[in-house]
Amino acid sequence: MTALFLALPTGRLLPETLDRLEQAGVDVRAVRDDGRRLIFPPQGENPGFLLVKPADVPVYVEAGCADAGIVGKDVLLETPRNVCELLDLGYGFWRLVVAVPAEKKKGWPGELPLNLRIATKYPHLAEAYFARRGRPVELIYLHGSLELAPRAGLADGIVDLVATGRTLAANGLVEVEEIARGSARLVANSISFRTKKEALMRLVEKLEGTKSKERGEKYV
Amino acid sequence: MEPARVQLPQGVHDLGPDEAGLRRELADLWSWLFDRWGYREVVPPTFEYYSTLASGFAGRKAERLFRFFDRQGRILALRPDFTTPIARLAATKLADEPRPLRLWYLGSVFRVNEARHGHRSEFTQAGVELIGAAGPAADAEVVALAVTALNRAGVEGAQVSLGHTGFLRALLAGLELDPRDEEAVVTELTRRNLVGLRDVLNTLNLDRRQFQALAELPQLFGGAEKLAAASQLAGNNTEAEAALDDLATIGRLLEAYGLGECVYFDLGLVRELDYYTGMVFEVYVPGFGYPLGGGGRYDGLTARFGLPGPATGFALGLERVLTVRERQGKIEGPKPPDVLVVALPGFEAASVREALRRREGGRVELAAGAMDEKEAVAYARARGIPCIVLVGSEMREIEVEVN
Repeated sequence: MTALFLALPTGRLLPETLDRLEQAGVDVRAVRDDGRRLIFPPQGENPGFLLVKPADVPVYVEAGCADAGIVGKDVLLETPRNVCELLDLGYGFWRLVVAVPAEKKKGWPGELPLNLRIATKYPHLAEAYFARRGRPVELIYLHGSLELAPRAGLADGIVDLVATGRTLAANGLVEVEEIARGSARLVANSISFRTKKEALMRLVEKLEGTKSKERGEKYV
Repeated sequence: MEPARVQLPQGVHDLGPDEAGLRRELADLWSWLFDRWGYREVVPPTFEYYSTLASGFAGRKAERLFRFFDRQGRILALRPDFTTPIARLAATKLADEPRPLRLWYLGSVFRVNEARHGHRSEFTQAGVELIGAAGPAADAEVVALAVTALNRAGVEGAQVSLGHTGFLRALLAGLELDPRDEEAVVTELTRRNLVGLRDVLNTLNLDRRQFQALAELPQLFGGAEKLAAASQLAGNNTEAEAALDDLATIGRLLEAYGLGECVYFDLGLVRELDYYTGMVFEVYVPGFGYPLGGGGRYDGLTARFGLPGPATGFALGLERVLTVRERQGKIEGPKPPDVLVVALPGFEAASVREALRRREGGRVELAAGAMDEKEAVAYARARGIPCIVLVGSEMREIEVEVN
């Protein structure tokens, strides 16, 4: 009953997430060994795991299917769910930016053009940004390869996550403004926060430990 | 002609006979219980003026209301909860009744949800409002009744966490924050966003003690020792002490109700609705991700309708309680009738008289139209009815094997 169920994000965040959990004393070998299974029940005190798409982590946590989960803050901002954010995990850094074709960057970011068409996977964050800037915008929701949209004439620019900026450059786009940035978070169900508080806070403490240790090493 | 649409709008549901039976059973049980505690039922309207209902749903939460217009263009809304309509009722129609008023309700409430989040837009709330009573005894009574309602419903392991808006208010009062900063702090606390809370606090120029008091608030959850810890965090703050004393008294009274085991103090509990002024609480069971209900003290609400006075109450989510019972394996659907009365061809009138006679003593279904014995047995078996009375030139009882 005290063992936790954790929702883990598949994809880009998973390797680092497993490393951190391991450093925090959580046994994740089962997850590493079996790349196809999606559910791993708890073993004694060791947490169980659900493997889900990053955007679905808060969904499972809000409903209490998992007591806690690890997910990028970008997901939490784009589709707010009723989950408690317990810890900034200090990895999985992301930046959400506006990018436009290099030849159209005139005016940005000080004076935005009017009547923009923007392709994005983050419609809420994009809309909030343009509302803040006081500019009307037409948002086009796409599922991937956003860089193509301005080149193919579908949109004037994009709002997307960037890591290195290489994909932007390869497609002739330049970043004109950063909208938001963040990192991965540990989130918890609001009932589990109370009924399994001790187990959760132990996990928070241990994960925090993995963070400061790494930071310490950086400055050695 | 095109076939009619069979899809329901998002967030609303049909209840079949089994589900409706379970809902009715629970509603009856609660109505009996609330009556036992001296509460009387009231039934406010399903919709009224938006400006009336907006009391608990100010600002962005107003988007959670289903709104529409009357013929003069005034904005109406479906009720998002019962507390505000009942506060209005208490301040108007029931203004002259002796205080305190003990009122209960049960019915649908309506809230707009994000699309495809799997939340209900129409759900059933049952609860009580204790209007005109100040002090911890009234608060303890409504908390005790909420937990008792869950226990009586067969929910196992219900717990309650008790918080107090006065404590947070006392902490915030000393800081003299810009209203927008204060709202940011409260928003992060409401969501228990520990990361965001620290981020906001870091921008606020607080001294170490002030910072710590707010940053650690969400973690102040546990037994009576947390009240002592809270008192220490607040420093010498008279108002904060008063709130903590209030909670301590409520806790002691709940022990007298025999509920000490399931009560936790939770100073980080901030309820979403705006009208709370004192003790607040939530009830929940371990292993189920949503609260089953909650409530608290709302001393300012009836004054908005012209009659100031203290008040406290709670609401339980009926569907959530049924879901928990189902998960705990305690659901038994409504029973089929005891007897099926069937007329053989030509004996329909006699079967009517027989059914009426037998209804004096039990639950009786009268077959719709004559059947032969074989048809009757097949039908009774399918419906789970254990006994057939076959009405012909003579009366014959047939036992049916049902599983």
